[in-house]
Amino acid sequence: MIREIGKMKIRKDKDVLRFFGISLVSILLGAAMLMFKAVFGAAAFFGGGLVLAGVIMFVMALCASMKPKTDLVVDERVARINEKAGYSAFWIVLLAVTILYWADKLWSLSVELKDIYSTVLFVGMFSWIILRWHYNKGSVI
Amino acid sequence: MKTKIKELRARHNLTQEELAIKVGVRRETIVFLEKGKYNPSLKLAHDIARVLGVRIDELFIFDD
Repeated sequence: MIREIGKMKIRKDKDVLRFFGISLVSILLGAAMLMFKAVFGAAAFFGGGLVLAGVIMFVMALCASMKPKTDLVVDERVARINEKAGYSAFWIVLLAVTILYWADKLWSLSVELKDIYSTVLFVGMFSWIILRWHYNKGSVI
Repeated sequence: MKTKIKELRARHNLTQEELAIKVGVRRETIVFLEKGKYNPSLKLAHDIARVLGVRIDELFIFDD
């Protein structure tokens, strides 16, 4: 079932609706948890996280609903791109950790594990996303 | 590697999307195949050749 809003066609099949439903539940749950932050401090952290996750999921569901179902198939080319990007991102993460380690040794940066954790997480995540875009755009696979 | 997918697809009056649905891939994959920017698996090459009614070696031409 496709509904047109202006010139945008939005699919309303059960997969899309399920995704919208989960995102709305996440937002509502997060908002409810935020109301208890005065009583339970960590509720603010979890509640905020759930609201943010819900908003991101809602936007993703909206983008997915505007594409035809055939564009969302994970075919062999998409799988190959994901694997290639993942492999390259792995080496980039190793390189980032190595650079952090030697920078700490040489310049006594007093780097702690909690400082490295978020850096490595973002380096890995964004490497994978950027590399997926790069391999999808033009290189021969 | 060059392909004759576009030419044979036109002969069968198939759009890229219709061919993509028949072989179970994205339309994007057919686009990159026609441009010669994607090397398909043997299975996908076989499926496309079957839909277009030709042999695999008639569909893909390798520069030797």
